[in-house]
Amino acid sequence: MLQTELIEACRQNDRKAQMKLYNKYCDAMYYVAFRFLKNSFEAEEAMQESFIQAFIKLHQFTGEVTFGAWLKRIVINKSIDMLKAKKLNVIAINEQTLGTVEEDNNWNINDEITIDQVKNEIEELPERYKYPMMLFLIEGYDHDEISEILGITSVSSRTLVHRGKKKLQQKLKHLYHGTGS
Amino acid sequence: MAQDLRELMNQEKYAQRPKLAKGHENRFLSRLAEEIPEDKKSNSYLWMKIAAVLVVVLATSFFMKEQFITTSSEVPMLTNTPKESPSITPVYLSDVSPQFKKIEDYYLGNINAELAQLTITKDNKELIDSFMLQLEELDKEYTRLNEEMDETGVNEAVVNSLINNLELRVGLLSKLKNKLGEMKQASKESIQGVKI
Repeated sequence: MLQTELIEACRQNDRKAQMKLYNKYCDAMYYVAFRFLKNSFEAEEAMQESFIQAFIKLHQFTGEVTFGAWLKRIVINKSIDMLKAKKLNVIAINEQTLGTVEEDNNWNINDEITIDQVKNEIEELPERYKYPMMLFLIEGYDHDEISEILGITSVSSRTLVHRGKKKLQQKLKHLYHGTGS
Repeated sequence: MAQDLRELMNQEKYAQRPKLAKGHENRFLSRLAEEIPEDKKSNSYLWMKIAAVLVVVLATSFFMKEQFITTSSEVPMLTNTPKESPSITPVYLSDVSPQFKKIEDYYLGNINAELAQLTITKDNKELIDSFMLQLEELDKEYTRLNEEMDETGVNEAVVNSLINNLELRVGLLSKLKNKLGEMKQASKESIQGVKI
């Protein structure tokens, strides 16, 4: 069955089609949620809730983006909502103290650093930088999208990502020197 | 050469992924059934349809049977006046042609079903009585037609007018029902009007 047919069947609330779509995307979406929530129960909850929300709102899916991208956005929103519910000030960002920064395009890090190391260090970042950095680096969203997801301005998103990057680079540098010497 | 952080993170997708806990599909299914139970709704709707069809079929067959058992082609509910005995109307077409009997039974069954649904109240008694009179007239005409057919033999014209006669009765009844519905509505509205 073609994807579009499958989605159409899901619109008609065809249980089989819904399960097909679920099985197709559940692993990837679980992984997305897991990156944010770091907890297998919560990640499954966020992922399944997102699927249900997606099925209910399927009429809003216009096909401008792929279904996977559309669904992923729901999963991320859901995950962030759950994070917010857990710790209300997780992404409370005082935008006034955020001056705008000159963006530089220097994303260089030492050659020997691995993905896992970067991920660990992102994890260690203060939360105000952590989630914008995750959305930017790992999920691949642009600043407009990040601003929508986090409910901040895109200027703030740029600033946070820039500062987060600086902090990350610093830490990675330290890591390299620390283990290397 | 330094590597680009963005490019490095793009390879993320090849990293090992955490696996979903066992039974997640079933958990999702039950969640789905709870949140979007439309399927069940449409199922019960289907059942209601089937049930409605069954009721109609049963009712029709019941009335047909009834008709068959009494073997009287007269509408029993029609007459508040004493029943005309079958001896006055010795031959019915239905006695000769089983095919026509089917048609006759069908109509009379329907008419009886409709009559059984009527509720007579003070307000509509007059209306119903006048309709009953008209139905009676038709019934007499029906008997007369049968007699005529007995004399002249079966021909298309007579059979057609017999069927027309039956159709007229059904038509009359549906008119009566509409009128009764209107009356109910009107009385409801007037009651509401008084309340306001």
